[in-house]
Amino acid sequence: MGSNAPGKSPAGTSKWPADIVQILGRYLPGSIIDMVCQQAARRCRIQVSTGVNGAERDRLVKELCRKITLFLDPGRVRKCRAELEGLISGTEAAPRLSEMEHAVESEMDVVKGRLQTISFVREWGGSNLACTRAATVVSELARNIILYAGGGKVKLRIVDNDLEIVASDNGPGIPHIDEVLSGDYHSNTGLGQGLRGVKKLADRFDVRTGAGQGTTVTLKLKLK
Amino acid sequence: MLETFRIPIIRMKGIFIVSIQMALDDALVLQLKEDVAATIARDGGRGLIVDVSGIDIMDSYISRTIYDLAKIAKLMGVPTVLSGIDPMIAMTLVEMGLEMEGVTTHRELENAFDHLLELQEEEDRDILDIDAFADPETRIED
Repeated sequence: MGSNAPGKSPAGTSKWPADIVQILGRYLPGSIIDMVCQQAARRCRIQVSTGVNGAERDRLVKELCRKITLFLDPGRVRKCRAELEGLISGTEAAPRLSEMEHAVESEMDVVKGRLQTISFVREWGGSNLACTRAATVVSELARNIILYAGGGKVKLRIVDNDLEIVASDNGPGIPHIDEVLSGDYHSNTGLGQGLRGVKKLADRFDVRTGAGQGTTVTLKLKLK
Repeated sequence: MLETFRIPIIRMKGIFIVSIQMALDDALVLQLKEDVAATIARDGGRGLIVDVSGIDIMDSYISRTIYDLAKIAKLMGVPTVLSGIDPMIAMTLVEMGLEMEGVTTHRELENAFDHLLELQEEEDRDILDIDAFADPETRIED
């Protein structure tokens, strides 16, 4: 991340990357900075509550370059834009991680997990369909963890240009897993349907489960 | 924050529109089902549109929720139409075997709305027809 803004930053802007706020602060009043950032974030579909990562930050900056034209005269737009663009090239491009672990402890983590999955897959060049598939799988598995095991974790990893997803918990295990996967078993909570759906989406799929040993679901998805 | 949040139900020309724009959790889903059932019970209504254009992904939980909403409304005599499914979501749902059989869908909210209005007009015509055949004596009585 870049340098922090010296002194106090305008009210309501603390959730935005400090270097962006610092530049905008030289051109716009504080109240407008927050609004412009919010609009830009919404436009780029960035969830600020989960933090802004490297790729999202770049998108945010690009969108801001467009947005500021509404508030500044052309000369200042050019100056401000140049400064903002400096942020993109100047960022010591955060090395994209080939592994990501996400703790699943509450329902909010299900949502966060799939948002993080989307940005992870996108960062690795996954297609839109791959993003949706991966996010659906993570959502499904994370929700099962919450419902049946109380807590666990989901790991994403890039292996040979494929996405590997591992969801594990220390819960009670899934009874009659074979029936669940073959479709002979229907829970009234819908567990079977979700897990079978995940299996259909996956290229490779493996479940290890048993009383006392928790459940680990491992699967692979294509990125393209 | 989520606990106090509700998905609004908008009424327009007797048709209810529910637009889901955020991630659904258990509490929100339960609230939505209750709200839809209560609104239909209170205000009648001629149709329900569930617009999912704001949903980022649909897993089995969310698709079942929407399916449930449609079934609740149907049981209460209100036809339901789904609109705005993202193409990627549609492909993923089909691949997972989670297609919602029996639920009418339209690409856009507008088409869904027109569809329900047409249904309503048809129904109104049917009611008029029944009136024409009604026994004249009973008609005088009311």
